[in-house]
Amino acid sequence: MSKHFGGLQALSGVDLEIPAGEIVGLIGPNGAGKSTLLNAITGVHPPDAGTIRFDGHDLAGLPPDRITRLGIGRTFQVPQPLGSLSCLDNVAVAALFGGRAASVEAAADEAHAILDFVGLAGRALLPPQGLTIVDLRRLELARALATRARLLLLDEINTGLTASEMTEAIRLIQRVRDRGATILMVEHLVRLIMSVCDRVVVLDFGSKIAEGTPDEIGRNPDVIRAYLGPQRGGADARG
Amino acid sequence: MGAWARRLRRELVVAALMLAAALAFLAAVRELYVLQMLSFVFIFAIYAQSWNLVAHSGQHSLGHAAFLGLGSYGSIVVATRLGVPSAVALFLGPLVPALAGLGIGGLCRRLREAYFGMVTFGCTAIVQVLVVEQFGWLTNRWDGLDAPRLAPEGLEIERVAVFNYVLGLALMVATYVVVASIMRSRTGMAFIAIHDNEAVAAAAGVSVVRYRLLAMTVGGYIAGLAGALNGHTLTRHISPGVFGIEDSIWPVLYSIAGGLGTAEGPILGTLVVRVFWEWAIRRVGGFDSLILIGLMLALVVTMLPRGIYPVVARAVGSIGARRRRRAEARP
Repeated sequence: MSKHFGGLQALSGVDLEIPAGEIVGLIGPNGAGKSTLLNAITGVHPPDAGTIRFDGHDLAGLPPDRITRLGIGRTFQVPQPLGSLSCLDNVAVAALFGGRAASVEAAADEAHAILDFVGLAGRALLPPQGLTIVDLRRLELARALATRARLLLLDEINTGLTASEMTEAIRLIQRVRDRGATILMVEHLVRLIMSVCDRVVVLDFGSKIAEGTPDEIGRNPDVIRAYLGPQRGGADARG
Repeated sequence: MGAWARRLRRELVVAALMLAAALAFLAAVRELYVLQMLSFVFIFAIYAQSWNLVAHSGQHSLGHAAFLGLGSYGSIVVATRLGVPSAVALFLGPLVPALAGLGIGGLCRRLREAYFGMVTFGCTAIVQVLVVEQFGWLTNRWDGLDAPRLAPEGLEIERVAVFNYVLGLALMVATYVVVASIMRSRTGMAFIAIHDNEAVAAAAGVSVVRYRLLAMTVGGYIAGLAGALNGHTLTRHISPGVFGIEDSIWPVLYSIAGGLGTAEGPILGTLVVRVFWEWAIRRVGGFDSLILIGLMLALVVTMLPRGIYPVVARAVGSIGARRRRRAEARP
């Protein structure tokens, strides 16, 4: 698929397949097109050319809420809680509409269980304004989970974690997958990508420059060049 | 029904208190002028509730007078031209502004904030022209229409005032229960999510456009009901002047003063601002009264940015909590 904004080619001919049950990492330098790709999949900025298929559905031209209800959940890179609702209701909205809970009460029950799952049970009735950035990202994850998504698009939900929080985050993501979700995660954190992803896709300047297992990607000279710059690329890039 | 009543327990208590207080007041005070003024408050509280409900879905209309006016016209035209009894026309007429709400909402479905306000404002001017020109044969152009009254014929003037008072009160409280149950329902959750952030609402699976249109349609009906009631009971006449800017601004002021986003705020706001307004005009008069009213609104907004109602609710809540504590302390 391709996407341009005015004269800027944000994505050019990116071809990507995400098999069910896998955790796929999407990495690349700033401005490589990672968030653009997520926005294209979720219908926020539909692609100009190409197709997106999910579970046999053609997503082209569908509005974001339809795509959510088809089973694709997302988090936002900058956490965006709904400010007039409690943490619980932030998640309950997604359970009610995305997850099609039977009633407001059923959605609240489900939201309680999901907040518990992501470790926010104690925050349920608080407004989201007081949460730390780490908790806000968990709230984003909880909202995405509440839509009962079969494909989760996680946009840098682990940035800025301490080492122990990271270990916890890795476990959480693996548990999410074990519940039956497929995951596409955008991340800058190499350690995290290497330890949880089955496969890694690398974008640079809107094009896919590499794809493979974490090990293959770690050895790929194109990837090293993209991250460290051409003048220090190739054999010089050992650091 | 059981779940509905349980979810709305607090609102049903508030509704009963409003009814009791207003009926007790009616028993104590029979001054015609006061009853008329309060009937006006009831009608405009219905109108303000409509604006507040639509604003609850993130759509701050600056052209709400279109719905108020179309409700009046709709009901009066249905009553006079089709010979439908006023009591039935009262509920049929507002279907016209409900439809207009759907249309204007559709036109503005991608707009937010000031842009939404501007276009709704413009739409009101267009509605006025349509009513006067295209539908002039129905609406009697600039001269307007006389409205048949709702009160039974042959009733003396004091009885008519009581009739209008009780009818306005009943419809205001009914509107309150309807609006509160919408706010507490699945639909209300969608409204508030859209209000806070449309992109996040969509990512949560909310059909943003559908719920925005629903808010405009229901809001159009409720505002139209206020307009129809006003025409049949108080003004007894409708003319294109109803589409002026002033009637679009009032519900905004009432709702903000009373407390945006609460079901009770618009009612309290209408009562406080309107009663103060009447007092200022009677006792002070002229330009001085306008200065007082401006000052009062400025003070409310700066000192109580969330409106009067949250303060009242907190005060009532703390009295209740103290009484409970005292009850528990007793052996």
